Amino acid sequence: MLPVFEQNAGFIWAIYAIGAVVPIGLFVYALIRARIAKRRLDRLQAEREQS
Amino acid sequence: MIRAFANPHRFMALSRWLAPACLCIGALLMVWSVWQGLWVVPQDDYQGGDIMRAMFVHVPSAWLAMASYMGLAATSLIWFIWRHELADMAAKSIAPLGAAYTAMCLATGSIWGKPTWGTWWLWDDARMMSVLVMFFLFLGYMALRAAMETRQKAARAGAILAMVGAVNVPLIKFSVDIWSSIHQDASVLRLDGPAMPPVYLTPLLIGGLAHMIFFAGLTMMLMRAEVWGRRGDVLIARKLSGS
Amino acid sequence: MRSPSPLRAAFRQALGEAWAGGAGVLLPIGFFAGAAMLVPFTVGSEASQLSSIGTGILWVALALASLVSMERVFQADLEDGVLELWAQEETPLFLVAAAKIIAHWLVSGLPLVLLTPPIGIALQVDAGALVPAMLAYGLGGLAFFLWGGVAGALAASVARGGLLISLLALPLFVPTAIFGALATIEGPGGPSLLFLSATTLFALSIAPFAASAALRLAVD
Repeated sequence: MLPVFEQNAGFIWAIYAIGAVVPIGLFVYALIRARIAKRRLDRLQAEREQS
Repeated sequence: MIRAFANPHRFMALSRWLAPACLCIGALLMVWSVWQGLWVVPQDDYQGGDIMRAMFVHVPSAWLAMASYMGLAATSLIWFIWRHELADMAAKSIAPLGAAYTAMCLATGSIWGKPTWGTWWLWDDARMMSVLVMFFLFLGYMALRAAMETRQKAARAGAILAMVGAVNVPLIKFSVDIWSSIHQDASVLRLDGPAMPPVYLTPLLIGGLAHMIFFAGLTMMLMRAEVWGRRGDVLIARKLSGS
Repeated sequence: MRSPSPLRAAFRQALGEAWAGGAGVLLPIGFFAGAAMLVPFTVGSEASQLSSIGTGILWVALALASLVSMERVFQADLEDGVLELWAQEETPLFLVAAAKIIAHWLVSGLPLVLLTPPIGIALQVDAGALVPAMLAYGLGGLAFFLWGGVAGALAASVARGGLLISLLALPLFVPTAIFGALATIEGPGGPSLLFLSATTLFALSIAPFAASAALRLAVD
């Protein structure tokens, strides 16, 4: 299935690996940041309603 | 558009569906351009054979590196003039994303350089040097924001630095261009030839668009996190003041 | 009590600080000479090798030495409250910032320029070229101090901001360093000296405003 390159295959795969890792990594980072902020806000709001 | 973004409530309502939509569309287009780049596009002997497939990752990352610094400068300017809090949140969110894309541009460019230029790093290349300087500008921006005591001060200091950096970027580009034109040897591969056949150009442009849309989605996600964080801070402040 | 014109005060104070506590002037000089002295040990002492990189080493040493005492330039004023007075004066704050930076350059930048010929000779640079090169080092050093001043003003309220200042300022040094290095190689007749002057003028026209905006931030 994977394409076969005549030369420099390692370089090409390395570049595409970076091209995949960076966007995915940034997505995970943004997701974690958003989750943490949202959870903290929900917790604080719940505390406020209780009191 | 700016009006809609200036109001945090409207921004939250808008970005609630716009952020995931951008991420999905961006990811789909990105997958398409990678598929084109790896499987469909024929190899080009003039550009060094198969290695030119790196273009579909490297060139979009270079565009994004430039665009993200311009975005950082623009949002900083908007914040500095009109004090829209969302503009500052956007600037704060763009910085780490832009730094990551700048690093990605440097890394992929370096890996591409090894088989084509025979070296991992070419100091003579003006574009590489400009991007490297931009990477340090991003790092400085984040370090400065992190060092400030209050959010307001971080926003102001960051905006000043981003604008000073932005007026310097053309000068840096110009100086590095002159410098490299003195040093450069003629064998350097030129990508910006005018006649790129559409079989390469279309996936490249779609890839650039994909990363741009994806980047916008990420920025909105981080901005949403920032809005939630600030709302949480307000609640804590109210609790501490006992109201 | 009415304070004297803040411009003159800032200038005189910067000159005074240089000789007060901790030998302020000697610090950059020592750093400059020390950094340049280390080079022959790291790259080898062959005269031909040294002479080809000597002027460039002086540029690097100058860029780094210009940041050595930048941390205290505005921080000291912030701590003793002078900055707050200046911010309320009628004299525009950007003029005060410019006066302060230029005075700082006079006491800690100019001595470095005067030192370039002896250190350059020690680095095997052609002695005849070194005296005209002082003009380039002077112009370049002024640009370094101006951008460093912006970074110093931004980091004025940050405790131990020395490394932060370096990170903020060094990318802005690139154009000046490029044209400066070319100008010292070309000699005074070449076009690079004009480009170098242009980068210094550019810094002179932007840095005072950026520094004053940063100082207002530090005061608030």
